[in-house]
Amino acid sequence: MLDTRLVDTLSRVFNVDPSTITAETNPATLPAWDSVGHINLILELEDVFDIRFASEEIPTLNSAERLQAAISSRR
Amino acid sequence: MTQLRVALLASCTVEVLERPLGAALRERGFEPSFWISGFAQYQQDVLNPASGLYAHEPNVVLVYLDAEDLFRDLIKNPFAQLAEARKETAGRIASEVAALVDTVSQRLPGATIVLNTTAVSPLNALTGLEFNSEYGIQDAVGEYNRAIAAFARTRPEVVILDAASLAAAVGFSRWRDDRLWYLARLRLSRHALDALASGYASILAARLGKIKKCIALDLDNTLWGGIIGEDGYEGIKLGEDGIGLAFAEFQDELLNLYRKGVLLAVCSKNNSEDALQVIRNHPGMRLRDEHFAALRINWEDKASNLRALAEELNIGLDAFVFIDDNPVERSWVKQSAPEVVVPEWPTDPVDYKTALVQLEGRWFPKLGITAEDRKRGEVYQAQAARRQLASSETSIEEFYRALEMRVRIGRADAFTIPRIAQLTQKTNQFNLTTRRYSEAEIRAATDDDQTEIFWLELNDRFGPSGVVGVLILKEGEGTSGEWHIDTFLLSCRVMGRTVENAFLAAAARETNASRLVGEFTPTAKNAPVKDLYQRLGFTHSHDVGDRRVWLLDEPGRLEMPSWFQVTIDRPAAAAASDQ
Repeated sequence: MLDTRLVDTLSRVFNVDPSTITAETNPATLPAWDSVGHINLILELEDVFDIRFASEEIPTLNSAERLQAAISSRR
Repeated sequence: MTQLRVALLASCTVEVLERPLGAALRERGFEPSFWISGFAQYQQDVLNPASGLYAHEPNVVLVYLDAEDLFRDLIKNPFAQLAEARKETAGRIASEVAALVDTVSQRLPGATIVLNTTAVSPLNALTGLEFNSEYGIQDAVGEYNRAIAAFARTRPEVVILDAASLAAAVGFSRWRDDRLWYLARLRLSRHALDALASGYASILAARLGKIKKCIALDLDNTLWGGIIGEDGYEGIKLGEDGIGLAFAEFQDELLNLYRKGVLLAVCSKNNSEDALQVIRNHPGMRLRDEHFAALRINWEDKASNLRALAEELNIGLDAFVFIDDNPVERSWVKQSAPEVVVPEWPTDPVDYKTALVQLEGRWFPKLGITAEDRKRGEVYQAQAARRQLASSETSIEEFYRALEMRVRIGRADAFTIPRIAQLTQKTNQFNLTTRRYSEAEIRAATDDDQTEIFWLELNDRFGPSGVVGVLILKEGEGTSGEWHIDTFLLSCRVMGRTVENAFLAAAARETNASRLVGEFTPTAKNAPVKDLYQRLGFTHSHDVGDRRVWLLDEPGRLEMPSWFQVTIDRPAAAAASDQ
């Protein structure tokens, strides 16, 4: 299950309806999720969840599912 | 919403700034569209006339240059340069930046260009050596900051964002996010991006006149500690002792806002005699009667009192920021006067001053202080005295005569151009066409033979009002003697005194116009002058969309009201050659 705050953040940063977001959502399914969008998303998530991702994991967090796992592992 | 075409150029990756900057600009009433230069492409984009920068036709160009990029070599090896060489490096970098900026302003006349001061990390190999040895980085960066600031002061189209101070306020360790540098070549953390976005938005709001005009203040537990009605004159906390100093220093900062031309008003629920006794006599008060443009001290609800203040001061409700320690009052005002800005307010008085300074940057940013700003508070005080007079005179004509009004009219020059541009930016009510001009545009227009830019200054028995009117006339192509009124505006504080009749009559005589063409373009705010041209004797010619066009032949016959003493200001050289 995706955390609702993760879904909200994805929908806000990429300006899409929350109902379209699934665990499989990734840069290929969301055109706005480009390299700049990725940085925006990471910074926004760090703020929302009050966490900090490590530099080597940031490039690997390229799906909603992977983001969820990285967030869950911090709590 | 004001459309803004923004170009963003930077020495590092900067696309990520678009999101917070867009939000900050929209919050201040702008609708921005962005073009952003690629990583480290800013020089090529400026130099190449076919680049996306110029294709975007921006009216705002933000150039973010980071010291860590500009001084990369020195930071990499701070032992390679001694003081003289560093000074030279800093000067060379600053003149390269200046040359780029001049290229931009030549190719984009009228655009506002924003440069920034910059800071380097204080954590570097010179710890301990900086300022103690012959090596240094901070002095070179300081030299660069001073040089670009000096350059900007010579260019009306260039303004400086003091990013070095933003970095200090945020704290350098939070200003950088090294992950973002190595992953994305971005020199800025999320905190830095937010601070820069807000800083740029404030500068543009100041530049384009989207700033508030008045702070309305509660009294009990806001200007002083305690409740005057309960704790009494001797019981309130205000002055040098203990927490009283927090209130006194908060007032000191309000006094600085007053000096910058922001109006202060009181909006409080008290017995008026109790409150006035404190304001007039309490030794701890820093603000006195003369600092307040208007007071509403009664038991009415605060939204109604804010409306009454707006009417008295002749400014919109949307020009107010309301400060009150009581969350119930804040929420009432938010709900019943939604145009008023009602900031959250700290519960601890020690935080008041800092909260106020943040509000200053957010809602009252300024890029310069005009003579009018310095005396605005006094001017509004005199206004109150004029209203007293109006109620004691029996006819309106007697009132005008009793005011002993003297107008001085002149043509735009170096001294008056900043104020003229400011008036075109800020004036909403008495403004027939609401055309906004920058200083650079006004300056350029003074070189045009077929354009006349007049200013008007008003004095009366209660004191000077300063430059309060602008008329821009353009001679029609190939029609000698036909002048089009491009801009006709008066500050709202001199409305209702027939100054407009005097101004237009004098300008018509100065230009020897055989015909005046006036137009009225309606906006949300300028309904008061809808029928101005009709009132002045113009005849309606035709409409262009919602724009009404009016004509007046032989404007030399415009009547000069007999209660004005009029002086036409001519440059000394011209006056000498007349003799």
